Amino acid sequence: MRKIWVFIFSIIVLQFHVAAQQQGCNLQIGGRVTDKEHEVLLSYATVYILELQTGAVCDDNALFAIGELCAGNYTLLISHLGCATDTVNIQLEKSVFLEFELNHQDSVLEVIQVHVSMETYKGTLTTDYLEGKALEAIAGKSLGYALKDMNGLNTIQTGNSISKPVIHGLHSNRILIMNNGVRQEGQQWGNEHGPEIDPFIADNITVIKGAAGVKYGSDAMGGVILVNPAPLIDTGGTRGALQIAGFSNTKGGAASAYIQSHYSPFVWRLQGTLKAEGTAQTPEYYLANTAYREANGSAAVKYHKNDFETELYYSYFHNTIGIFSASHIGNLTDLENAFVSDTPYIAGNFTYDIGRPYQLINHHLVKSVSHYHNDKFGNIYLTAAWQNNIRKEYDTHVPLDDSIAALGLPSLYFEIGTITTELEWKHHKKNNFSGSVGLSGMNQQNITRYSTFIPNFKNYSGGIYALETYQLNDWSLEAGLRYDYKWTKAFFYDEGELQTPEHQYSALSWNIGSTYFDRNHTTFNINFSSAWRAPAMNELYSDGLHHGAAALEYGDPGLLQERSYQLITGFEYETPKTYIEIGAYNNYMQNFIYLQPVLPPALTIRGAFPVFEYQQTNANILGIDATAHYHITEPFMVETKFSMLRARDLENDVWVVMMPADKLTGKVHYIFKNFGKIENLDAGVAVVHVFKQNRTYAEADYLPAPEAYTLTSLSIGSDINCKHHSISWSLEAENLFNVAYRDYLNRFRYFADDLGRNITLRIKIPFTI
Amino acid sequence: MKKQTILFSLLGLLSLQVFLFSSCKEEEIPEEPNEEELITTLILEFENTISGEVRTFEFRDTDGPGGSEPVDFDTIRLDDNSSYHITVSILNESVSPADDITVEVAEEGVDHQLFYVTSGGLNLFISYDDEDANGDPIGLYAMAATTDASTGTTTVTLKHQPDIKDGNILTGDTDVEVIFVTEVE
Repeated sequence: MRKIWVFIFSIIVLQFHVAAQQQGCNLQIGGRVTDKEHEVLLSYATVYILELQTGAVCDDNALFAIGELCAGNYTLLISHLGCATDTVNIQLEKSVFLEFELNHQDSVLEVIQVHVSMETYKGTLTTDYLEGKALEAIAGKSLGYALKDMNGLNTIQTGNSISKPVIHGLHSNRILIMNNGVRQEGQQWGNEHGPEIDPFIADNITVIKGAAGVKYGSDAMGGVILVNPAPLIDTGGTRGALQIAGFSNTKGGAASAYIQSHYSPFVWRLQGTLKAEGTAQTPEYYLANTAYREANGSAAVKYHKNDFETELYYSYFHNTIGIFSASHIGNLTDLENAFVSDTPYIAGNFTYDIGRPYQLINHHLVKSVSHYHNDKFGNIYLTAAWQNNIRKEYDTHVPLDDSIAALGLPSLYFEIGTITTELEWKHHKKNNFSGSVGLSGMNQQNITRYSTFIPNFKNYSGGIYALETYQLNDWSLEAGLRYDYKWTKAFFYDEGELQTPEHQYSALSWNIGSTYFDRNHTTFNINFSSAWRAPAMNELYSDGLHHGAAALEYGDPGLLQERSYQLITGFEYETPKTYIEIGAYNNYMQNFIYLQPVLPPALTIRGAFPVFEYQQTNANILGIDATAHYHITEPFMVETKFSMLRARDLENDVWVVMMPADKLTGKVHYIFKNFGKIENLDAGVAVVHVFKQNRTYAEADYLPAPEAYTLTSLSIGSDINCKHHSISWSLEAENLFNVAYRDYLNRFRYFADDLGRNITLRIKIPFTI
Repeated sequence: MKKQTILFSLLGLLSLQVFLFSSCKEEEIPEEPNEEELITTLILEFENTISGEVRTFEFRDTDGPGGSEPVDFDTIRLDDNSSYHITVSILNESVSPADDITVEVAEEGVDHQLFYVTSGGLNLFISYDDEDANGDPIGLYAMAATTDASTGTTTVTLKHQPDIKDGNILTGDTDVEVIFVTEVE
């Protein structure tokens, strides 16, 4: 009855990715899903690998790709809203491209699935992703740190526990992070405010390098990071996985687990993570007060019937971060004292205790997303999300006044609440056109206490967009247009008088691009786009002392919106032995907002403080990312990566500071033959050389940039095949030779060396009940 | 299918409502920023040990670091070949009545120390004249002696050294650092 069959229409074996006969864990399954009856492409069909509990969603052109796979036998579940799931067994020996045909019917079936939780992006911008083995290999790291090995990405750090991703030199207010499809809203303006996301929730992390403002709205000037949980699929019984990681440097550990099941028409998943680390150590000393604790959890439930599904998701993120005592400085003299000393003045001892100063962060997210499928007009998605972010920062100093001290209040308190709604209509492919139209709104409110550095404020914003892709043989053309409006009102006291200034901003974002995809050897993409962002509250109204940074910062309410014009091209070439990828970009930024040092320093009761003002200029960032792999023999591969960028302030004719230095990576790895229960044994050595950042100038910084450094890391890992499951483990040694170094983008470079050797053991145990 | 359409529309309306409703929430007016503990004023009182004459020298920046310039910033003028008792006052004058932080510093003497550093060539010599519970100096009371006429600077630094007080000016957080131009005449 109503049996829905999927059969493999044809299996076209292609050299889809990397080497053909290679036995490693970098195989890829790519393919396309079409509707047999209507002969239409099934955009957003789901392809799920049962054994690995991972999957992918087809894009607008019904194409999907799952990467980082090991050779072996897999069960693929292919499904689409309105169709039943079917199962296909494949023996994967090389990367393949598969064509699936689904019998699509209107009114059917108890078992249907498509997930709504996963955002995919396949456009004309350059993208990179972490999933499967590559994602397991960073388990336990913070989000910012986890992404820094991607070409073109860096991390801006405040010590070892606060790291923020940098895409092509841009970060904080200039990039967007989509946490399970919802734009993450916290106090992202601060360099010492890391993203409040548990990377363990992710099944796939996709990075879009470039201005993706049309789809994702304003602020996506440097790029977008999509943190996607695995799709909720009602097959495969009750199952889950436990992941644990232990770190030698901080004598710390992380454990994360999830369990998921279904009771038709519901599918649910529970997930949680615990992490604790002690004092971090450099090659020669401990960094006092750098212990860390984190506890996160999430729950998701999906209801699914016929052509409709709806999902409710809740996640909670909580961490307590000890801030390296010697980095919290009272004035410039303290800073200078720290500079002249090779070792920090406050000696550290190993402890799991967190003392002052520290940060305490809570982030709640509730999301509801509904998806309705119709054969005629396509798919409609409605997303509504509420998030609340509370950040408390405790200074070294307990207030001198006992009555105030007794209250135990933080020195700084921020609470920001955000509601986002989005309606999206993706129409079916027609006459080679596919695309979507969307509407989005945001409502935000910020409260600051115990400080006047950032005022209280309210934001309202809304946007409307359309994106269309035209497919012609191996070519696709993409064009999009978006309009955004933002209204904001600040509340603060100036000499006892309440001030409530309002601002309005509105602008268009657009993009036009093309991709050429020849499945044999080459891919080429080019994209020209423009994105914008409104000045952030700290840029408009910062007023005075920046806590712990020994600087006075002043906003400018007259700042204009910032705009980026970006040209991106990418080129990929592959043969069985060789893989080459080169990407180049030029990002011209109009009204680029930056902190300008202003002379003379301000005289205060705590000594002289440097003064910075937010100003605007026109800037240009030009950069190249290149990657090459070569197989010397089948299992023996060498890989090299290089990235560089040059950022100029065009009006003042100086370098834009705090930009990543050039980076060169070399990697060799060997994949052993399977023996007994040991499969996919892979060992590698990687060497990263970070050049000195010479493109800075004296007035813009307290100290010149640190010297170049070279770090070596080792890794080994395998799968152990046990009956129904494959347990995987890996051992990684970072900074193997315990090199003392300082990184330009780490604020702690003023005070201490970076981390010494760190050995990490990771184990993943999948289970079914 | 009709059912779903209805359900979907309902959900849409609901979300829209949430959006609109939350938009109408009362506007959040910030509390008056008064919890912040500021040090605004440093007063050095020099009492001549022979004549009993008292001279006070002040640094006063009533709105704290940043904002308006300091309103008072005196030059320390002392007689040559004389000796003085120094008494220090540290105040928060951004609130009314002013908060006397000197008392708090004295109470938490084991975590605080004032340092007096004079520039080379200035014939002013300062020594401690008080001690905390552990017998270490705090510096709220001090002795000063001058010899021949000379000019230079005197840097007065208040360090917060919780559990790490070690007589070292380099340790800890700086709460106060004022460089007074100083003339011995």
